[in-house]
This record gives sequence, C-alpha cells and structure tokens, in this order.
Amino acid sequence: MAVSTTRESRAAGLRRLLEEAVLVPWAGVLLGLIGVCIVVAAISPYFLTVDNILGNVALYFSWFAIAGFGEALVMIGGGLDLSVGSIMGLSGMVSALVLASGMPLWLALIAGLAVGAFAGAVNGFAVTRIGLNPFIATLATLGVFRGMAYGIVLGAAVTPPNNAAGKAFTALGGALGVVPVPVIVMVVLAVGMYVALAHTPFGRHVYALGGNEAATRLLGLNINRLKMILYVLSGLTAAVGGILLTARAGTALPDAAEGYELGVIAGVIIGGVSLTGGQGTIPGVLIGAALLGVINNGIVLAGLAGYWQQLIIGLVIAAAAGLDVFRQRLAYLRSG
Amino acid sequence: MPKTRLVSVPLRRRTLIRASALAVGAGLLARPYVARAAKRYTIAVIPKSLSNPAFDYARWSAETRAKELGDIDLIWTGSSTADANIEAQTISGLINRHVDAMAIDAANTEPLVAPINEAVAKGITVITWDSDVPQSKRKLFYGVDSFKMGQLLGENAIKFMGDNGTVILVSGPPGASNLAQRLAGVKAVLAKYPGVKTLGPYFDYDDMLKGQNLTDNLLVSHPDAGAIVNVAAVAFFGKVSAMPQVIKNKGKVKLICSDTLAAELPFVADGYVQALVGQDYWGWGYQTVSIIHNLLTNPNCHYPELVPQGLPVVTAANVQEWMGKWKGATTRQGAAKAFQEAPIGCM
Repeated sequence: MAVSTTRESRAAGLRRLLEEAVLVPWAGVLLGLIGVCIVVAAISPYFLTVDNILGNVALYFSWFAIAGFGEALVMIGGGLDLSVGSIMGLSGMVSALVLASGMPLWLALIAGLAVGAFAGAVNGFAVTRIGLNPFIATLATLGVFRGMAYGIVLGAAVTPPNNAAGKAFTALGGALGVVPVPVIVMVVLAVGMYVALAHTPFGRHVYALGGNEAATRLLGLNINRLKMILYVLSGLTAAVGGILLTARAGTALPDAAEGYELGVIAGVIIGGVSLTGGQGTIPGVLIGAALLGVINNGIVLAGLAGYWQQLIIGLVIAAAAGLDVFRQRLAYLRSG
Repeated sequence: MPKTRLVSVPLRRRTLIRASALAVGAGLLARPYVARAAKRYTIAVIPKSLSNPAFDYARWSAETRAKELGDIDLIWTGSSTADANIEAQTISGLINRHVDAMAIDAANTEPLVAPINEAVAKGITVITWDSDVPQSKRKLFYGVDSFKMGQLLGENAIKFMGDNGTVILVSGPPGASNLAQRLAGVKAVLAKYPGVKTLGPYFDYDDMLKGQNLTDNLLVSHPDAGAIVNVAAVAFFGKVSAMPQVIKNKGKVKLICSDTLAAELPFVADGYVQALVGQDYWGWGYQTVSIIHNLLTNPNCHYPELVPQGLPVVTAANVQEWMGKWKGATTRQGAAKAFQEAPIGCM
C-alpha cells in the first residue's frame, strides 16, 4: 500500500513537472533541440566540431534568429509581419548599392537600416492608421518591398566594390577568430532584446498588448504608437539580418532572402511565441531558430537526400504549433 | 412638347458629308504609307527566373538581336524566382496580349504544358530554351542536351578524383526538368564505376546563400568525399570568401560545377573548383530571337526539334582565356563583342 502511494505520488510529481515544462514556452523546444543534437552527433562525428557548429549551424540560423527577434516582438504584441524576408533583401540591396556608388561603409549601413526602419513604419502605418489586418498589410508589403528590390536594379546583381569600404562590408559576413560576425551580432541582439522584453516596462506593455488589447487600451497606453514601434523594430532587425547575409554572400541579389519569412516565422513559432499573441520569449526564438539550423545541418550530415528536408521541417513546425495549442488548453484548464 | 433640334437637318447632313469626304481622303492619302510600314513582331522571352545573373546575358543578347533585326518589339518578362505556376500565369497574360511568339525557359514542365498548348492553338509561335517542356506542342527546344551536360560533369568528376570514392550531387530546384536530366547524366557516367558511390542530391533551390551554406556544410560533413558535382551552381556566383570551407578544402574534395560565368572563374583560377561545364549564355537570347524571327518571317524555314548548343569546359588550362573574354563583357555592348556569334539560319 505504501509502495503504491509512493509510486502514485512520484507519477503525479513527474506529471506536474512535465506540465510545468510544457507551460514554459521554450522548455519543450529546448528538449527537442537537445534530442536532435544527440541524434545527429551519434550519426556523424563531424557535428560537434567548431567549424560545423559555428561556421555552418550557427551562421545559417543567425539571420533567421536576428530577423526573428523583431518578428517575435510583433507577434507577442498580437501582430504579424510577413514582409521580413523582403525587407532583408531590400536592405541588403540598398547597402550594396550605396557602396557601389562609392560611398563609405557607415553610410551604406545607415542607408540599409533606415530602409528597414522605414519599411517597418510603412507596415505599422498600414496596420494602425489604415486599419488593415496585419496579415493582409504585410502580405501586400511583402510584394511591394520585394518588387522594389527587383525594380531599383532591374533584376541585376550588385557586388560591393573591391575598395576599403567594400572589403569592410564583406568582413561583416566573415569571422572574428572562429566565431562568425553574424553570430556575435545575434548574441548581442538577443541579450538586448531579452532585457528589453523581460525586464522593462516596454516589455510588459508588449505582453499586455498581445494578451488583451482592449484592456491595455483601458490602461491608458497608446496602442497605435506601441504597435508602430514594434513594426519599426521588426523592420530594423530584418535589415540587420539582410545586411549581414548580403555581406556574407558578397553579392546583393534582388531575390536574396526570398521566402525567408517562412523560416523566420517558423523559428519564432517553434520557439514558443504564441500565434494569438501575449506569449513568447527571446531565448525561445533563439532556440527555435537553432533547432531549424540543426535539422538543416543534420539532414546533410545524415546523408539524407534533400527531397526530405522540407517534409521534416514542416513536421517540426506542425509539432511546435500543436504544442502551442496544447499549452494554451492546459493553461486554461489550470486557471480553472 | 416638341423635341428641339440643336442643329438643322440640312446642316447636319452637310457636316456628315464633309466629314466622310475628309475621312476617305485622309484614308486614301495615308494608304500607301500604311502599306509601306513593315510588319513588327512582338516576341516575349521568358527566363526561368528574373533574378539569376546568368539570364542577364540572355536579356542583353535578346535585346541586341532584336535591335539588329529592327522589326521586333521585345518583351522580357517572367517570375522573380524559378516558379512554374507564376510562369504559367505569365504565359496566359502574354496570350491575352496577342504576342506573335514566345521563347520559354521552363522552371518546371507540368504547369506549363496547358498554357503552351493554348498559345500554340491560338497561332502563337512557341519555342523553349535552356529548359524544355517536351510534352507540350512547342515548335523546338534550343539549348544544351542536359543529359549530355550531366555526362560531361560526371566525366570531369572521374577525371579529377579518380574512379574510387563518394560523389555528392547538388542541384537547384528539384522540379526543373533540365536539372533532373543533368543529374541523370552524371549518375549514368558514375554508374559505370563500381568504386564510385553517389550521395544526395541536395537542393539549394537556386538560392545563392543556401547554396553557399550547403556547400560548406557538405565539405565539413563529408571531408573524405571524392567530389561534389553541382549541376546548378548558383553558390559559386558570389565571392570565394562566402565559403570558408571551400577555401580550407582547396581542391581536396574536387568541385565540379555547372556554368562558366565570370563570377565562377576565380574559383577555378585559384584552384578551389576543378572544372566548370557551361552553356552558350549569349545564344539563349541571341539565337532564340534569331530562330523565332526566321520562323515568323519565312514559312519554309524548318528546324529539328532539338537545336543544340555547345558545351564549353573551363579548367585551370584555359581559365585565363575565359577570364579575358568576360573582362570585356560587363556591358551589353562589351558582351556582344566578347561573345559575338553568327545567327542560326534555317536548317
């Protein structure tokens, strides 16, 4: 009798622990990431090498994570930004064009970032002032910004010149020692965004906005201004990602980062950001993007033909979205 | 209440008679000039993707040939990325614009069969280039024999790595028929060597950044492979510095790639890539416009179903010669001079 009571209490304790783990938005995906890492490391001895972890996996997911931080802010605030991939392409193209016209590096970077911020402001304006649904508004600007990237160069590629500014620009896609610069930028941005979201009034307002917009308005907050800030930040982070990937590639193509919005949003959702807003964390986004990076790398390491890549990533996104629904139901049941 | 007439009947009649006389007179005067004006042909050239730099030369060359011929209104249009469904919509739009002819580079075959057949049924001359839609009613295909190109890639892999080892296959979008045939050609050659194993194919979807990452990924994860054969090598359109593993590898795992574009040549010159197997990029536009013009203007003009292009191979032995060619090809005029070729006549 005593043994069975102990077993029951252990089982109940384990169940509670699992429920708690599921309720922490990124705990499940962290477990998933660790699991996938163990499997891939067992398959290939090259997985846990510095070259692979930093130069392939982390570098590959860095632009998704960087753009994902801004996307996460918008989504936690109850919105959506489908135009991040287009903003990445446009910002990188503008920076490359400024460099190609003989301007200095700082001006090229400011121009690229300004384009990202402006694009974000356009999204914010469409959502807050015109009153468009974020999905529709950013679906439209996805086309507009991509079209601009094609239009300003008539579909051609732009390569930064081989002068000091061009070389410094390309170095942004290189590495400091063994750590790629985009990975360093990703970590710095992650820390900054985490502090802003988790430990400042701004972060609390973002959660409140996504959790209950009507109630937040009653608190006296300027909802439209807050939404505008979130879209501008999303545009800015997308621009940072776009500039870095252009620097890495060494050439700006008008189709650069085309379709990347899906990878960015997938990483954000996998990382535990709720589709309905009000929930999510920056560490979660980082882990979500990392999981996609490891899966992408693992498929190559495992020698699986590329035909299966999209299927596997699709299943992971479906599992993460399913976990989100399950988590919400559990939270609802617990709240009584 | 009687209706009031603003203009009296005789005055209206007189005005009508005068206007008719004027119109007839003007028509008679203009007639010889109208008859003398040469017929102009509207030709649409549709690349697989507007963003692939390889197609810049096709555009320039199509424009050059259209200018030389003088009676062509050229439309250069298509999908921003290789997307056959958007390409199908583009073709439908061009049918509604009543163009005289279309030259199509297919992103994928199936979605294009119906619109191509519809265009042909409406009297539009349709040919394909670079990537074919053989099951459609298009008149002919101008391009390389993709299977043969694959065979050349495979032969070069064997030439540089020997007849033992693993060959990793990389391609662009999985649905493109020309790329599928190139892969088949590579496999057909490699299958003759029992000591050679193939891995993949892996796909970068014609995304340069994905391709660069994939190449580095493959070099880290398969350092003992004999060769990587990339049948759609957009990864090598960027800078060498974008792929640190390629720099580190420097010829250990042999890299055999498609295309012979300017951006790829430094990879060969510096020993990172062992062989490039290319195509006649200038011909894509120049010769397609020539062929279409011949078909439109000469009812007795005939061509075989496949009008083949040459397959140049660039290795360390001839890379300097190719670099010299491309040096002058940074503008339309420069490219026209560097890659000058005689237009294909009727066969």
